[in-house]
Amino acid sequence: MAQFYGVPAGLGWGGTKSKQPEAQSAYENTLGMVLELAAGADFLFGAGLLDSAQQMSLEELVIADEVFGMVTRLLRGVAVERETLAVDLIKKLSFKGDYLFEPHTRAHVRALWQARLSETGTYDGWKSAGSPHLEDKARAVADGILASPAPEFPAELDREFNDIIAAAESGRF
Amino acid sequence: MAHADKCYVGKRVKLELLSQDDVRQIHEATLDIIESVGVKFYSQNALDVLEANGASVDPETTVAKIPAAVVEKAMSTVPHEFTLGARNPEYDLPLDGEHIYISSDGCGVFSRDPISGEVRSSRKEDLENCAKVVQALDNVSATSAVVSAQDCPTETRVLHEFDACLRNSEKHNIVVSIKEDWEARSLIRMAEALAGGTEELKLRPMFTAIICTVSPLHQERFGMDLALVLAEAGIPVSFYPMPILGATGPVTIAGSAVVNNAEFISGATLVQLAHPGAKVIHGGGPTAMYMNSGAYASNSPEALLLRSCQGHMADFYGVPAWYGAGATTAKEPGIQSAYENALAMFMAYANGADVTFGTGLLDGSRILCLENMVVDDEIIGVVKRILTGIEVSEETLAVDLIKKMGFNGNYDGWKNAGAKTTTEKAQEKVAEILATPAVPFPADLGAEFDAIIAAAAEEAATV
Repeated sequence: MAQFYGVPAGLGWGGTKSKQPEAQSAYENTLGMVLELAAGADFLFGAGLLDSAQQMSLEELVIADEVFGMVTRLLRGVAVERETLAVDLIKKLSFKGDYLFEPHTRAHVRALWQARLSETGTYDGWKSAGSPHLEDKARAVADGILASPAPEFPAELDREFNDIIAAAESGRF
Repeated sequence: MAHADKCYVGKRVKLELLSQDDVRQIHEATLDIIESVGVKFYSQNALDVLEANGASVDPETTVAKIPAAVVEKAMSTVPHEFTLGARNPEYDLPLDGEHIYISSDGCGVFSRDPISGEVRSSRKEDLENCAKVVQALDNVSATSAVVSAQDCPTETRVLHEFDACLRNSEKHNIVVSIKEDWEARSLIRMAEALAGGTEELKLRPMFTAIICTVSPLHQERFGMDLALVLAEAGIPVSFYPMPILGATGPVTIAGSAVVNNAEFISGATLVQLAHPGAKVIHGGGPTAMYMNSGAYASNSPEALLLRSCQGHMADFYGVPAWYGAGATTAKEPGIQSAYENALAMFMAYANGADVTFGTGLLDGSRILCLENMVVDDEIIGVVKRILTGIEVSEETLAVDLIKKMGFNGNYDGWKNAGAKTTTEKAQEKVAEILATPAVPFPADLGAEFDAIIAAAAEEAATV
């Protein structure tokens, strides 16, 4: 409908019923995200909330960030053109699985999505790291962010905000 | 209600990932590769069929270069729709583009204890338990050799895996690891016993065979010999390429889609030439790789996009599409397995998959985890509903109702109910399913299965 009227679409999203970050919040929010963005949403409103948008969860926010990266890559789709079809390369390598060493691979490999939160290594590696749950990794990411300072807020804006809030609180508006 | 009715999505919501022109370019590049580079076949039977039908075969290199006209003639005889049979006809699965199904996954080697999280080598009893869970779930439509029965003799393992699935579930079965002629013949005999005869098996094939090709552009000896034997018996064959982006196929998705498609098309062409009308399925589980670790990326966005190309190619050829979805790289059931499998299943079905293979394994198809299958069952239910889309009609618009009506929400309840996560609830459901007996298996069939497996073991011992 937003496209029909030529206005941006900002859709409600992420109001999972889950009471803590877990499998249900993951699949509900993921399916909601891919469906709403594929249907034309320009932005989604609701990252980081649980229990029907009643509780804030920083872990959930960090997880949403990871999934958003995957979904945006999916929505960019597949380029089908001479360079990406790579017919000459397929002919050159024929029956040899040596694509890793080709300039074509080096030229495009950096475009591949890289996980920041998801577990992508070996099972033994995960075990020796203490078998971390994804929600604990998300918490660690959030804690790391909280331990570093926020981007600076200009001093004059800071004063102006304080003045406006003080004025509103003293009933001068 | 027949099981398939629960899997009906009708004219489903589809993503237009590839344009018709994109599909045509991938098709033409595929024909170019098959004709100019060819495909390396290791089966003499396959090479004989191809040569007799116009392919140019080099006996030294065993490469068959198949002209486009031969491929196109062969592909003109593929059946567009057919039904997968089940032990109980209530679970027959029509493949007609309007139903979607998920099977359990394949070829894992470990099993995870739901309580301790300990992981051990897989055994036949794991397959029995998995088949019971598949039987109990509404959205999982077929059993498979989800893990290897490593406590059974290697010569007859495939038969034991089939035996475990069929004795504990009435649903269709997916066979993956057949390597020897006696295994194929014994499986066909078991399937005929289930179907009630040779002709009955052709109409209602009791299993589908997944035949893995080797990227890039190799067709193994046993895979092709098997495809020929099964095609003749009326068993559907899913050629299953698994190129890895940037390793055994180009790093660009479109290029690996060409490699994937060339492996499917060369296999399908072979069986159509030998047995016109043979049931073939456009399959595959292509993946990506995490370039920083070299680890297998079964569910990275690029892997999902590459698999999605298959659905579009299958539509173009008018054959059922069957591909990997659900093989999460997560090491335990939980958040990552849920978001990866949700995306994988959504992308698969929204891009034309009829069947996905499959659910139940963690760590990139290595570790059996039954509670994760229960969670996937829930996810697939949501995906199905999404795919059926939105009906806009006078009844559903309900304008009169809106005019008539005016206006019209808990954490405490959840805490009081024990604060269980979805994964914990799924563990309880698995325990409940495993505590109840399997659906009864007819005693005469059981005796026949035992005799066939014993005969195969004897035959294997003489080889």
